[in-house]
Amino acid sequence: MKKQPKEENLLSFLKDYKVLIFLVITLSLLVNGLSLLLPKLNERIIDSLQNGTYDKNEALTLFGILTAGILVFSIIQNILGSITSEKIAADLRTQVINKISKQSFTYINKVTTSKLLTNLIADVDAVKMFINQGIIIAFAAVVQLIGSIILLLSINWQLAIPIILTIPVLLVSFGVIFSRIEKYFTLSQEIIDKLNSVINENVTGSALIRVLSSQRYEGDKFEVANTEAKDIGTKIVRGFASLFPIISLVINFSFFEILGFGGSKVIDGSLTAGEFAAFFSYIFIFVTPVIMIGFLASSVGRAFAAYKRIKQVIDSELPKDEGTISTEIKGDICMKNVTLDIDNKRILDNIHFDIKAGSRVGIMGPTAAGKTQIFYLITGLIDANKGEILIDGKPISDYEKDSLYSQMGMVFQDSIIYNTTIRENIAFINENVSEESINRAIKTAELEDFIATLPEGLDTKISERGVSLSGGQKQRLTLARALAIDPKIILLDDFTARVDINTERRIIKNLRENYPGITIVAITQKINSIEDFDNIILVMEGELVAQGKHEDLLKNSLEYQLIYKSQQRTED
Amino acid sequence: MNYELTEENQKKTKLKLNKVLGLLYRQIKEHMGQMGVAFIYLLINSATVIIAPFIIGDVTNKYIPTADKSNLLKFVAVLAIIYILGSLFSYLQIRLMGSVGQKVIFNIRNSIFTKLQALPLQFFNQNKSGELISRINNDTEKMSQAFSETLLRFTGDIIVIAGIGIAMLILNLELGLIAIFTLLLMVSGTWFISGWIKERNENSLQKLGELSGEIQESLANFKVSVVFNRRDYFRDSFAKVNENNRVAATGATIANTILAPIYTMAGNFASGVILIFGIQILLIDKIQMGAAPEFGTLLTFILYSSSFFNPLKEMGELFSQLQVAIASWSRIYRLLDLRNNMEVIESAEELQDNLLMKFDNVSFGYDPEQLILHEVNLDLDAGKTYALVGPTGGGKSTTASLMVRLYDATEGRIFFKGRDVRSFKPDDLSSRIGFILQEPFLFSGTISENIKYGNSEIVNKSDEEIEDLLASMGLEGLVNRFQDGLQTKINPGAENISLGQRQLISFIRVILRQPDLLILDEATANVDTVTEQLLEEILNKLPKSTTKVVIAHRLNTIENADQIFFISGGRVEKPRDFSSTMDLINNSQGRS
Repeated sequence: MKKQPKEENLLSFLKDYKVLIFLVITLSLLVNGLSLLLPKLNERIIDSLQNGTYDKNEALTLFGILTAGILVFSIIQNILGSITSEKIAADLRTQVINKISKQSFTYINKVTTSKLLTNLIADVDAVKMFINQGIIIAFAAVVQLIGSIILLLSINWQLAIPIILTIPVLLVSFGVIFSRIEKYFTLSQEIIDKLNSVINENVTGSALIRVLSSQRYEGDKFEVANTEAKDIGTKIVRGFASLFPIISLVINFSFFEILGFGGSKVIDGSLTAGEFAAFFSYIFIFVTPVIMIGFLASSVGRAFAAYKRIKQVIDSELPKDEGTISTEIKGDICMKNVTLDIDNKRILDNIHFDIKAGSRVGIMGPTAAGKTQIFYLITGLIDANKGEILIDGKPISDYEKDSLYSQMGMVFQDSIIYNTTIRENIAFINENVSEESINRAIKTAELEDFIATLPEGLDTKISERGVSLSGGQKQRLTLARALAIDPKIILLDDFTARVDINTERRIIKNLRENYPGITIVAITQKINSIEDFDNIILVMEGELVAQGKHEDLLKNSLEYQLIYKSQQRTED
Repeated sequence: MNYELTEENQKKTKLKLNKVLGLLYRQIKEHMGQMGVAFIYLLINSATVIIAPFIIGDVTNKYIPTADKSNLLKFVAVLAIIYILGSLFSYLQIRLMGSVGQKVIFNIRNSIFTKLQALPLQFFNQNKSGELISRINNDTEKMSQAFSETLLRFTGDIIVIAGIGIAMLILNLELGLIAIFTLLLMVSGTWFISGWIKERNENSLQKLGELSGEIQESLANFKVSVVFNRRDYFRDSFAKVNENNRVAATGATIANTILAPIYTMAGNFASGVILIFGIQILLIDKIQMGAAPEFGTLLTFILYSSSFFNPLKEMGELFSQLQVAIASWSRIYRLLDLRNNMEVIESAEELQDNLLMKFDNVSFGYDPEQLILHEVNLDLDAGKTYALVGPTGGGKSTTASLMVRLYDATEGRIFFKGRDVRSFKPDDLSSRIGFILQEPFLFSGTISENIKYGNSEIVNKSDEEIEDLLASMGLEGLVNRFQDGLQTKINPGAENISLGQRQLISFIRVILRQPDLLILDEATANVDTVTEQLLEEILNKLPKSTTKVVIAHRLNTIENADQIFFISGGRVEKPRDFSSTMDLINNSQGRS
């Protein structure tokens, strides 16, 4: 593990928990200190035999007290340790989620959901393991190691020195083993991302996979990722395979050292039988922390790699939000020479248009013309590369986002429904949405009849992933959600694509009646839904081709005429 | 059939241990040979652990009192060889078992994934994807630890304990009995507490699954959280499951660490008792009887009680880890144990009506108590175009889903080419019926990969060949609209391209399969009307025998249908012509 003094690492993150960690470490020191006394007691009993002060009952009582003490303290230590490590894990997750919650939409799409999921589950788990089994044990182990060295030296330093010399041997072997497998830890967390994303697509795309019977193909894809996971896992396990045999070899070296060297000393008379026996007991005390450090080595690499991945999310740069304007808006929208590139590709090229407050504007154009991107730009979900987006003449970045969003209603193409009641789905923005606003939104979205058929009306729960609603019902529900905030501007992205023609006509009519003065911006494919709008903007391949009223466009725009013709057959 | 893997459902059905273990055995069966070898390594290693203290004691008894240094050193050398052998075999065993563990986990992950593929769509409607991901990854990871480490160490500990127990009994019956008695006391105590430990762990894994499910879902809905100022909703709903998970995980960790201190205490105390009684029996009593005190044997007992109780302490920890593994396995088992209720049946009956598809009194409900479709009868002829119209929520998509057997009818039967749809192999059915779903789904990768997807005839073709193929069907214009043509990248979730674009790609994907029956469920709802006309021309170029079923709100797309079915409230009507359809639609308001 390389030292990075400036960058905050896992240990500096743990500073906030120093009191709890300190308590747990203290308890663990207590437990280990008491454990050190056990062989001391052995030695004392054997010695008391030789000088004739041996008392069986006293010896038993001492053993009883000592072991009971160890029991009580170690149980408390474990409970406290569990509480601490789980608290740290939960807090770490909260920290990541809080950061994500402040991030931009672009960021989430770039990092991907499956990676964030690994960060929040597998990576946090690795950190947790390290805390619960690592840090606390490490402290205790070091203290116990030092304690046992002192004890060994105090009995017979000549006998002790070779045993102590095994420590550097161990440390070097740990170092070698560790440096060989370090790189696999990051790889192993990355492969989890990959598995996650295959599984994820298989769950979200389950209908398609069944329609195409492509299960076998998916199985192959999964097997590739799974094989990779197996190979990396095997490398890690094999890399560690020599760790414990080396430890036990070193321990055992101590045994024959004592037997051979110590035994000779007993024969020479320079070591008592009690000391000889005590040495054997102390070896176990000496060995336990060594084993613990071995365990620690296997969790520390994973934990540091995992924390580094988590840290990337926590340290990610937040979108600038320096807007201060929080006054009520009128609803003028202006796109001023806006150019947008995504992944170095031009999506929108020098788009310029004005939308007056209270007017109704339709945005039309072929699939992939960049209509949805215009919508995302107006909402500030993404930023333009060139040009400005103005609301009431002021750049959108000057507005306080919260204030702006509470005045703009948005209906996305994909109908996102939450797994809660219909009421909460509609009054989503906050619980202060008045009953009146809810009712008006429902009426406008033509949901009244549907809700009336539900057993618990507005308080009916929508089941998992909104499956019990049809496509059109979901779309109207998201419309009601956008309207419930009583917006000044409503942005509709293809919102009537799954609503039948009559319902759609009534919804547009309702909008005008129930929300007078509202600015409507509707992306749509259907001319007849925006025919009487104040302005129609025609976008093609990222360029603004024409704009004007329906009649003007029919006269002046060839492209518009083409679209119109394609829809003419059923107009009457 | 209920596929919900929720807590309530899991509690309802008790698992039978023999079945759970039986399935586990099947997963590891093929590795039994390697596990046997590892077991032999383990035996050798354990033998060295048992023999060494005996030699130490024996040497101390024999050669130290007689001051026989040369023999002393000879046995020290023997001891060294034994120890080196022990470590060597321990290394071999860990290495072998580690890779066996990884292979077992590989198999289990594959089994789960294969099971996911074998389950019907309804299973996915009833479970959160994040929860399933957790089951595949977190639960198998927990099992992986058990396999590569815990199981054999546990076995090794048992061998060492048994060996040393026997050695102690032989060396001195009374002292041996003290150790055995302590052992039995602890085993019975562990038996008593193990159910609780397992329950805590199952609970914790369940909560972890819920946490994962919540994260998955709220990240997918992120943009709504942003524009509705509900970043707090995102945080709060997470905070709730995070807290639940913390409480459950703390409970599990405490349960998992409760045994070790108790084992340690028992081991420590018993070692003390053995020492004190050992002194009495081996030294004081011997001297009183006039025999030589057996100091070496006492030393062996001191070493033995460490070697006996240290593995016991370790078993306390390992036992908890095994409980975690069992809890994980139970969760995996519940998934693997789900049976697909949509098996391929033998079809005895063949209709001779020359219809392409027939719905015979079909009723359907996800829940049989709550029917969504009622006694639907449909006859579809080859080569004709049918339109399904009606208010939203009326049952159009459900009807289409039944045609491709995404679900089975609750009552009545569906025939395709005269045979019950349930008698077709899934491959056969899907190669003949093309279905463009209302919510198009694309895999991350390229457009080329997506249109070749799942089509065995073209999956290995190069981009040039695909381009030729597209050109021959008049589809090349559709692909050229994308920035990088066939090589245009699709991000996970396909957020980088629009819904209309996704529909286009789905359209191409289906057309290339040249199905007998083509179902378009709002397939072009987000495509502009000019492109839509182009799509229609492409459709017209399909062989005359292709039957089309179109669900759409845009009336121009259904105008050309040979027959219109009006579906509302789960019932189907067959209007005479287009204008009476319009009347039905206009009158249908309020009926949804």
